[in-house]
Amino acid sequence: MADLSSAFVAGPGGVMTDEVGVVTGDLELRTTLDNGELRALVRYEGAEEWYAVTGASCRLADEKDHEAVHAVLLGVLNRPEG
Amino acid sequence: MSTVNKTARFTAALRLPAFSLLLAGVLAVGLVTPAQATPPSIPSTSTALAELAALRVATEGSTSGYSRDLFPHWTTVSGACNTRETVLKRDGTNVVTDSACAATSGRWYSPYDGATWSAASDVDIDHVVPLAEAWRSGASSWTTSRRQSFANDLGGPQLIAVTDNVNQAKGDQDPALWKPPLTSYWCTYAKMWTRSKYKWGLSVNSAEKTALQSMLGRC
Repeated sequence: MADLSSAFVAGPGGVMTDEVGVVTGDLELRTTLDNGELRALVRYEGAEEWYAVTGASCRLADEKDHEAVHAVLLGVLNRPEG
Repeated sequence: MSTVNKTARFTAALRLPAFSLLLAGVLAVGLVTPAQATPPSIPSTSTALAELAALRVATEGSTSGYSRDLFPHWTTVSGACNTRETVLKRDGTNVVTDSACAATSGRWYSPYDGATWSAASDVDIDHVVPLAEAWRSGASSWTTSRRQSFANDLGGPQLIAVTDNVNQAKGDQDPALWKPPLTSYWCTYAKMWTRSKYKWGLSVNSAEKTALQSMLGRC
């Protein structure tokens, strides 16, 4: 299934990642689905490398839920007004 | 607090054996207490204020094109030792390294949070001015060679061994967004941050400058 990507703005405190700790500012969320395993990644808008959102991987019982999980994550992470 | 201390000292002086034991205890603690991590070239308060005043104030630039690969870090310093291992040895106490320069034992005091660790795996080397923050403050226009020098800067107060979780919580944030948990370290931290930005010609944003002025006001 295709990856899903959305731009968002991190709220106060940023987003914790495995590789570089907290990232802040204008970011992009990407969720990937591989054999039912969903992973959430973020990167700085327009940057070259993606980082794993800490704790944000799970197995989906139904791959049709990918969009819904992506929307939930985006709703939690997106804080354009701070 | 000072009254309690005076009483304790007075009592000990009256009972000599107890005093000797106390003294021995203090000496023993003194021997095992790790030294404060002290990166070089931390400026005086007046110098830091002058350097802060000289920094260009600008809104942060874009993260477009950013990658940590553009800041090659932990380059070889000497022999088998890279920058990370060199800072671990500098900032730790009784650090023992193997033939590959990996720290196999030692103690590390993290001035950000006051914690002491006995495993190098619990310690990160913090880039005081984070790489992504540097990118947004001017380093995006540098050569990779200059970015490499910045990311491995042992001559200024840009690298320090601290508790890994604290380093992760800091991430890419400037002092307007993140400060060390120990307020007693804010003065030193602001001096280190300011010197690094000054040395490397990086800009500050207005919120960051205000935070640094406030932190330097605690010195």
